Order: sequence, then C-alpha cells, then structure tokens
Amino acid sequence: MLFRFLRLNMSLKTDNIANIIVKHIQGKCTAEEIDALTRWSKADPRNEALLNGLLDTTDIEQKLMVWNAFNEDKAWQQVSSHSSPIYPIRRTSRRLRWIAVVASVLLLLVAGLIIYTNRLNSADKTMPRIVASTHPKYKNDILPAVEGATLLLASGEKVALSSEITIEDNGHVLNQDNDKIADLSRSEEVVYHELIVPQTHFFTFKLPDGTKVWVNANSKLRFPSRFLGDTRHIQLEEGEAYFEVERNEKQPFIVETSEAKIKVLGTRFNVKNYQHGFVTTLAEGSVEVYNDHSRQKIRPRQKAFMRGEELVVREADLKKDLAWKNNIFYFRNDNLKNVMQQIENWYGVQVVVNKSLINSTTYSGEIERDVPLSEILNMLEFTSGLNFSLEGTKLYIKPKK
Amino acid sequence: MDVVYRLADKDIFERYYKGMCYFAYTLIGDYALAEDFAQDAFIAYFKKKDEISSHEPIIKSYLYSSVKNNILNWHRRNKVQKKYWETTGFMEYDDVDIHNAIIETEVMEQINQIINELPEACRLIFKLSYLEGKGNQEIANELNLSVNTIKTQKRRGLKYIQSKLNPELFLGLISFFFIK
Repeated sequence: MLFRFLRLNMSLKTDNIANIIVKHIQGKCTAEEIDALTRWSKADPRNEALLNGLLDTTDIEQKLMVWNAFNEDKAWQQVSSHSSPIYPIRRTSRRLRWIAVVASVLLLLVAGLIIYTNRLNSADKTMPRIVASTHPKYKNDILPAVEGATLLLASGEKVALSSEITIEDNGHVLNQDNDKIADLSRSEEVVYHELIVPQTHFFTFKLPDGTKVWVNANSKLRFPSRFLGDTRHIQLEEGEAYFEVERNEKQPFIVETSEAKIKVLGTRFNVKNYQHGFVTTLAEGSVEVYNDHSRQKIRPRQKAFMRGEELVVREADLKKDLAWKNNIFYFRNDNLKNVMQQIENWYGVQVVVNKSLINSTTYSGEIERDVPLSEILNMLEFTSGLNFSLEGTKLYIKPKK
Repeated sequence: MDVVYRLADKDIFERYYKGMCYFAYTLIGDYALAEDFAQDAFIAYFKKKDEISSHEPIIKSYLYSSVKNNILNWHRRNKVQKKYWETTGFMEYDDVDIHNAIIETEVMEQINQIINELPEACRLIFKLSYLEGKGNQEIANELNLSVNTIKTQKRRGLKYIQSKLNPELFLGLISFFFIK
C-alpha cells in the first residue's frame, strides 16, 4: 500500500535538480553541479524552458504571486471542518462522475446545436475576417470581432442585428436610429426570446427596464418580452455578459445560469459561464449569488465561483475580469490556454500548440482588442518566448528559437 | 470513521498546502481547481496518516502522488470538454511535465523560505509593499512608523536577500522588492 505511491515520484533526480537550481540561484554551485544542470537542461526543451524561467526575475516575480495567491488558513478551516473525511473524498468522485455526465450531455447538446443552427440558418456561420497581411512575417491577417448578434424570437422569426438595440416597454425593438426593426409584443402571455452572439462578435443592448447589457463572443441570453411579476428574470445560457442594472427594489433583477442564480436590486456586475467555469464579479452595489447548495453575498471587487457544488467568494482583479467589456485584452499571469481561448473567441482562429510548450508558463500583457490579430501576436511575441505563424485561420505556436 | 485532527496535522498542512496548490496550478492553470486538488490530497492523507510513515519526505511524496493521480483521472474523464486541447496534444502530461512541475514547486518553496526567514519587521514591510503593492507612505501610515524606518527596513531586507541569493541573477527581483 505504502510503497505503491512511493515509487511514483520524487525520484532522487527531481529532488536533486531542484536543490542544484536553488544553489545556482544563490550562486553556490560547484563545477560538477553546473555540469549536471547543463546536461539536464539540454536533455529536453521543457527542462531548458523551466530553468530559464526560474532564473528570470520577471518570471519568478509572477511565480511568487501565484504561490502567494493560495491561502492556507481559509483552506485549513475547510479541510479540518470535515469531521469525517469520507464526505470530501466522495465529493471528489461524485464531482468526477458529474463531470462525465455533463460531458456526455454536453456532447449531445453540441451535436444538437450544430445540427440545429446549421438547419436554421446557414448565413449565421461566423467566418473569421481574413485579410491580406501588412506584416511580412505573416501570410495573412485577421480582423477583430465585429458588433453583431441574432435575435431569435419566440415565434421562430430571426432578426439579424448589426448594432446596439433598445427594447422598449411596448415590445418594440429599436435600432440606433430609433427605427423599429422587430416587435416582441404580439402575444399576451410572457414568452422568452433569445439573443445569440456568435464567435468573433460582440453586442450591447438595453432591456425594457433600462438595464444595459454587454455581451461577449460565444454567448446566448434568454429574456422575456416584458418584466411582469415580482422579479426581472433573464437567463445567461452560456457565455459572458456585463450588466448595468437599473435600480428597482420592488422588482429584483435575477440572472440565471446553469450553475447559480444572481439576484440584484441595482448594480454593475459581470457574469461568465463558459464551459470551463462560472464566475461572477461585482463592480458596484451588492449581489446575492446562490444555488441549491449554497448562498453567498458579494461585495464590490469580489467574485464568486464554484468549487465543486459550492459557491466560494474571493477578492477579484476588476481590471482583469472586466477587461473584455472595456475592449481590451488584459493578461496577468494567464497560462497559454487561457490566453488562446480569448484569442480564438475574438478572431475565430484555431490554435495549434507545439507540444514542447509548457502549460504552466504564464503570460502578462495588455492591448486593445480592436486591432488586427498580427498586432496581438507581435505584442505576445515581444513579451514572451513564443513564435507564431498564421496560415489562413490556423494559428501555430511554438517556442522561439 | 472520524479523523481526529492533531496539532501536528495543522503544521503539515501549513507547511505543504501552498506547494501542493502551486504544483496543481502548474499543471492545470486554474486557481480554484488547484486548491480543490490540494485539499483533496490532504483529506486523503489525514484519513490514511496512520498507515503512512511520518517521515516528511514520504508525506510529501504521498501528497504529490495524490494530487498528480487526481489530476490525471480528472483529465481522462474531462476529455470531451477539453477536446480542443486534446487534439493539439496539449493536455497530455508525460513524466517530464510532472517532474518539472515538482522541481518548480520545490524551487519556489525554497525561495519562499528564504523570504520568510527575513526578520519579522522587514518581512511585514516586504509583504505590504510587494504582495499588496503599497507605497512607503501608505505602509508608514498603516504601521504607524516613519517613512524613514520603512526605508531602513527595506534596505536591511535587501542586504539579507542579497546574502541569500546570487545578486547577479537576482538584482532585478531585489530591486523590484525594495528599491522602488
């Protein structure tokens, strides 16, 4: 029992290399140790990258921030409050099972959605906007996302939208020139309409109560034809949206997602619920976040996210969480996966990553989103050890040589 | 079966928790999940602690294995959601990835220890200025000290770190902490 896990790791070698690196950092290595370190770093490009990262002060600075982001006091309370450890252990496996179920359901849904959207309207297909390159390094360039969405009415009618809309109390949908482009008021009962913002698009609109909503790429919102009853209720089925809610204490505003509900009176907050997790970040006011298992109040500059089935609250990096709404890319200790998911969403490219790149390396940088892809790549190439090439919509990433 | 938590358990937890989170984070790049995996490893360890040697390298080894195995399992079951990263071969770890994540964690642990060995007053100022990004005046107000004292303490901390870390390699880091 005991020896099974012993064999698995912490070989003498790993332990030794770590010690030699620390000695090297302290300037106390012997010649043999330097030799051993050099041999080790030459053995695999990943070793070399790790060594360089640990000897680079800006990298270390970021790594120290990551290290200190974890709080053992709060965690100890959580761990030690389980008088029986069986519960949390089962919690893990339940979570895994749950993920498997969700994954298979998701697969079906995705398949269904693809068939559904293809059948409904082939003009909806979002094409990356490929243009000729002005930069000798790239074969072509890709323009940033554009404003646009599809409004899918409860009647089945579809309306293509290319700029901000306002939905009036009487159900009229007005464009920026105040022209009526659709009418939601035809039925007496309250029905839900859908706003779909595909990849490489973004959108903003105003609800009948005056609430303003920013919607990020790859998102889907459902909202009623009017707000009747005790609450103003809308659903963020997937994606990310930022709300500036018009205050109305008699009729709280509720955003429902698959993971949790957010209840507010009047406030500004962001909700993100892509497939890699739910987070809501509060800029102003106060909101209540809850699901079947837990309930949390969050204050400005805090965020709530899921841990297992429970909601937990942490301090938020407002600039980072709201960057998309302010139309910037803001990376701060983000790994390549997080950076590239945002690039994919915004430019509609497919990223292909060379295997020798390490997922644990993090990147920081800030740039406006309203620029061609080549400018983003130039910035990233300048600040990181990455090399990009762009062929059509395929973005290849490998280490700089 | 109930676990009785002893004082020593808390020590073990405090000594290794950040490291286990960091290790998980280097592999998955997600703060919340990293803490989940780390906590699960400790819970598993506390449940089994009577069967495990109390020799610290063995405890550490158990924790690393536990985090690693849970992450690998999680990846296997999570494949559908992650299909994009999988097709690029990005999320498949081999021994080098795992070993390097351990090496990185161990090095970071030692660097943190050096920082933690700073004299108390110095460390507090270091924490406020570096981790919380506060300026000299702000720290002075908060601690009810003069700005000059803060500067002296920073200089003392700088000397200490210089004696512990190779100044040629770490000049940038040191100046970031103390000189700005």
